[in-house]
Amino acid sequence: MRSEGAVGPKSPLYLQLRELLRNKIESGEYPPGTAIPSVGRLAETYGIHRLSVRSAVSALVGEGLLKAVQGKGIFVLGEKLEQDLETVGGFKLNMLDKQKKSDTRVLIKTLRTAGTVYGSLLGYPPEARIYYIKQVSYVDDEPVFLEETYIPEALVPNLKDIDLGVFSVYEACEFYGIQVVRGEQSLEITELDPMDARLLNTDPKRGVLAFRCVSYDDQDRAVEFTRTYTRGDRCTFNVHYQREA
Amino acid sequence: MQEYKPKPREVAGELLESYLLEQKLRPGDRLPSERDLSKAWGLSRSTLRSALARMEKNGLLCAKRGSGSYLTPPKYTRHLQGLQSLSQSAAEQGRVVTTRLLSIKRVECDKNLARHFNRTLGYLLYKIVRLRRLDGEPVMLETAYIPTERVGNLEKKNLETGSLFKVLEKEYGLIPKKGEEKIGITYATADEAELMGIREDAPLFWIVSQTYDQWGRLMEYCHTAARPDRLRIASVLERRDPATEERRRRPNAK
Repeated sequence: MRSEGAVGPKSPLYLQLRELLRNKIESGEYPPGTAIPSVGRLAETYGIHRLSVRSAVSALVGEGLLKAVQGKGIFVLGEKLEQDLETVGGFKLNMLDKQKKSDTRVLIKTLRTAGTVYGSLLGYPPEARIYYIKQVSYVDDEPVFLEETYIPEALVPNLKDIDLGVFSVYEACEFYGIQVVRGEQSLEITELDPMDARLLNTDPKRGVLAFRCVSYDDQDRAVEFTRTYTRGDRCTFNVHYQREA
Repeated sequence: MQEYKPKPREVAGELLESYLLEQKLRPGDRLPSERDLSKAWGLSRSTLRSALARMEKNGLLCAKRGSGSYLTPPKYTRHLQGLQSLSQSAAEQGRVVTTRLLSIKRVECDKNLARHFNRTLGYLLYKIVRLRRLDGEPVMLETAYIPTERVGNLEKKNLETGSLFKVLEKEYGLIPKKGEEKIGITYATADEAELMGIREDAPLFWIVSQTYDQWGRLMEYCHTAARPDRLRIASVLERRDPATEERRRRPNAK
């Protein structure tokens, strides 16, 4: 972190703006994962040239505080947990064709009450509020996964402002200091209902792999429940295991 | 953020799941009739019927004609951890495994097998096909390949008592140490359908596993077709800090 007072009234405008943006990020006025105002907007608000705004932004991008995404905006990055963790067990999704281009479309992102089913999965009372997110991921313009995620609102209150086309739910959790250390996973084959089958561009009778996972953080709190449907012709799940000592 | 109104079909599915949890229904218990449930929840009968049908397809309920829907016993869960044998893990879940040896013969490696075993074409393997039943019901068809040079006279051993790995360990000193599995979907061939009593072309798990012995050699290559209405596969993902793990493993080390 930089010392205060590095910037004064005589400092160049782009430097003043850079420090202003930095303060807003650090104070939480611009929370991690959300977009800051556009370059045009900032230029207008402060009456400065767009080029000055650009150089303030690009300095912060260079520092890893912001991320510019073509056609979407400028986003605040949270601190990443720099821990070198070893992954043991667990299914890994394996794409059959090496992926060239992937894209995620968010179909639903809403707040709802947990109800009995998701309340009991996540360890919250039925009246607790949870986010429900449904998204489709495409690889080379073909739909490959259909994913539903349930996260308690209390854990990631800003999730509603986070663009899930830019950040994964997993990254959003990390921004809020939630570290997933364990996932209880299962794999089944299920038939999709016709509407969901259409989203995956598959015949409901063919069956899909249904992957479910409840994720826990280092305090053993359930932080997320996900259900991912994948077409069996596009991916397999891999798992490595060892005999316990 | 948009308001989302769940579709009646989704509402019905979740209401049914909640009902099972709240009423603490057990396997074999009967659900109230379609008419009573649709009246209680203010849903149309066709909506409720399709939600019930979906749960039935996914193996949670079974419908008996003219008598209603019953809760089925939970699927057998195969945990891919610690290389526990099927017989052992089934026993822990109160299930009984029986095994029928369909065939054992010597085969030559084709290109694919030769690559896996890191040998040349024609390297000799035992090909062992076994049908596994859970509580009497056929659920898995396993085809295993094991190098003949490591397991002389394997065909003379009893391969129907349960774990093949137990035989390999006891009789030949081969100890499974680690492995990997690939899990995907396949569709039942006519033979598989007949052996497992399912319809041809029904979706099945297709599990390809490779198991390595204490010397790191591939000791078994196996593919299994398994019924998804009777079986689910589970694993626990753990992310561990290697430094902490090291301390845990060697508690006396500084």
